[in-house]
Amino acid sequence: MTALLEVEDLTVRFYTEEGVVTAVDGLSYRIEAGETFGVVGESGAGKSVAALSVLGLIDDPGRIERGEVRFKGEDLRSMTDAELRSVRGDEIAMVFQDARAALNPVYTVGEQIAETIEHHMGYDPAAARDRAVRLLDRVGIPEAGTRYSDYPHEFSGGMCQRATVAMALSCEPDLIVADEPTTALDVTVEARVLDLLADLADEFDVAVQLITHDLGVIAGTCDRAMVMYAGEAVERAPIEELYYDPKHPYTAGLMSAIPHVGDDRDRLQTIPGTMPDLIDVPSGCRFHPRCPFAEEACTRTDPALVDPENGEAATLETERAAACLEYTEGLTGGLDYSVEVDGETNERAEDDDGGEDDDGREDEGEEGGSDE
Amino acid sequence: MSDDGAGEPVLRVEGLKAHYDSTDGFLDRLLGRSRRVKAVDGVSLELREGETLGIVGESGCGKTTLARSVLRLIEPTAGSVYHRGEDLTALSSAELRDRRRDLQYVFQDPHSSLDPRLTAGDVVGEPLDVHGLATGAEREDRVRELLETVGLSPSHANRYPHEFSGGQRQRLGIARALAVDPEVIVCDEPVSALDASVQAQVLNLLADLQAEFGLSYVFIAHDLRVIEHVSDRVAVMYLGEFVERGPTEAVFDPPYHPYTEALLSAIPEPDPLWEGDGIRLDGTVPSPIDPPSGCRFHTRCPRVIPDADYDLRPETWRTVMDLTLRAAEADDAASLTAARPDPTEAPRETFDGLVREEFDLPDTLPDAAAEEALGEAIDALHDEGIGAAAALLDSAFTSPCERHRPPEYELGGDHGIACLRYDDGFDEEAGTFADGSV
Repeated sequence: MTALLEVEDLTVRFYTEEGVVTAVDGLSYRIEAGETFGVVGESGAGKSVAALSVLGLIDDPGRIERGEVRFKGEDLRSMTDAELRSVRGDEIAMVFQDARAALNPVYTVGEQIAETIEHHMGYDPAAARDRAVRLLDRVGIPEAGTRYSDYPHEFSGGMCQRATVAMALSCEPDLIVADEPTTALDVTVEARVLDLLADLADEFDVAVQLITHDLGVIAGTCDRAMVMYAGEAVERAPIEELYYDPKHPYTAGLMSAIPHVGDDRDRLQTIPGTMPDLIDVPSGCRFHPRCPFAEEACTRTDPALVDPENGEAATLETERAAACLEYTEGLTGGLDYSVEVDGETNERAEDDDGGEDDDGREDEGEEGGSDE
Repeated sequence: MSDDGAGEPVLRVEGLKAHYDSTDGFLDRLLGRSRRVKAVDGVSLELREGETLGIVGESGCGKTTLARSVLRLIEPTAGSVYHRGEDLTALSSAELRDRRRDLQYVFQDPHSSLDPRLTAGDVVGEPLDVHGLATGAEREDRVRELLETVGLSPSHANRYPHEFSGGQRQRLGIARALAVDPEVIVCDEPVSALDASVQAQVLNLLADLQAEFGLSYVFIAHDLRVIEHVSDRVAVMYLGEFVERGPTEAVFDPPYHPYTEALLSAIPEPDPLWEGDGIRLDGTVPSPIDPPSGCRFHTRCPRVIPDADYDLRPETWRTVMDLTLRAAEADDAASLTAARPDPTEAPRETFDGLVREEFDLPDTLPDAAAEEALGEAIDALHDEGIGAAAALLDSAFTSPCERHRPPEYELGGDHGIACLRYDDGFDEEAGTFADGSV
């Protein structure tokens, strides 16, 4: 059975003056109809490039080297530009981080939405306008009728993002790719936009690929998620398993690096160093220079994405997958971290991996990313 | 980290105001129209030795202006800043420069706050030159030492800022602040531009330096998770004022200012089963040019106090307030409904429904007097237009929060909240204060 979106072995390279940047390397995932799928990682992990490839928006000097992007079973890469254009907008829509930049400053917000509706859905101007006003109202723009004629600069940041969500919804797509949709927003506004996305995903039965650097954002909104590091997926899991039972040391490290309300640690656990340069990635496991559990084997063998239960290579259907040698060859020291879940109140969970007992193990390596 | 109330605070700010003139060009000036942005409007705070004071709020609430005017990077409009008993606002610029040996600043953006033409060594060495603290070999040694202190390699002294990562650049900014061996560092969103794993490194570094050099921090951030982690005491800022202030545990636990409560509720917790309180604020921070009357948060407050004349639940009252506030600003009746083109052409009944739907008002308000007033206003809106309706609504529905600017109420333990709900003398039922006034 084919999923709504299947990405298989996607590899994207950028040919820059400094060298060849492999931004995405052998990435595979699927998104089912109607589900919200999170992609999380730090800057340079390849999240946005993966998203842009789905929409066929990779431009010079970038190139999709390998792999397939199948939407409803059809490979987007083999489509003509015209076919691709009609999928894009009609069936796959995008919401960007910088909503104000995504809107054209010289047309009113309403016109831009109505134009999309006219173009993709063949509505006449009056009907398109009507639908645009209703959509603006639905995404929570007050006085939608009046605000229809406002220019983007007259909207606040949160309202601009709501407007681009309205635009994304305007053609009843099956998939919305949202790239850091709330990163530029205040926490109060962010919460509302995330609520809105979740409501709309339900109401319009649309799948969402939500890309973010914030594990907190993924937790509240997604059904499944994938963690990316240096162009590769290091872990893929249903949301609760990802948080309560992370299988990859990077996922665990990332979670313990976030301070959260109610924990009284004096120091945060850190992941030493920074994301590697994608022109010259480390040998073996890309995370090994920063991994507290790395062993000699990790510097040689690049771990494949496998089912952590049985070590079998992960396919698109594999629900739970992680890329760590622990699950294939096994590490002599194992992965020595635990997850504490505050079960009683269920208020705050996930905590302190990387061993608070053998403390300092992660802290010591705090070199501020002297990446040499 | 510090004993409460031990000794004289290192920094004491009293009634600080920073207003900007945002008068728009020649015509405005010609017509004498002036627009003052009240970015910081009467803030007082104390920073004690060795402690971290966190300041949190949404964008546009005046955090950065406050931070900058405390160190006179922006000239304050009014108020005083005392450092070791001396008022910084009264110092000459030469005296102020000397004073900067004790007071330093770390900027938010590690990309634009470093001179691209200076090497790392010169970035860190510049304050030594300015204050004549070290020259020659001594300067070299000090620069190396500083780079090492913040976790950079001394061999990188000859590199330029663009050769460093974001986290490393922020470390450089910290090293520059440390160069003069200051007492106080004002950190303005020092980690908000950094990735999670790097953010944790920089936060730990700041904690280590505080322990090692006995630094006091004013720490500005919009991220409550970060604020809670670093701060000994916290101040929550809204539209140029502090609305709540106290030790971190007190601020992060009830009782809350409604604004603090809403901010806390909106934190995206990294936990899929986290429910939160689901409090959501509408809209954004209003313009500081003409801030709302009374309590500045009343236009968005989920707990705004109902008019004592009516018996309405707080949620219902909030929707009535929303209608009243929107009517006061709207241009025409159509703005108060989602319908187009002209809803006033619809029959009275339909129109009534449209308005109620837009504001989530119940079909009939549970309080008869309130329903009557609302009905009259909707009639006026339908027949006479927005002006008449706005006037009716405004005279019929007034929250005490609109009329009274709440002072800070002491809740004990150095915890203060500026919200009328915490005035013991205020009777919500009757809408009167202890002295009988309304």
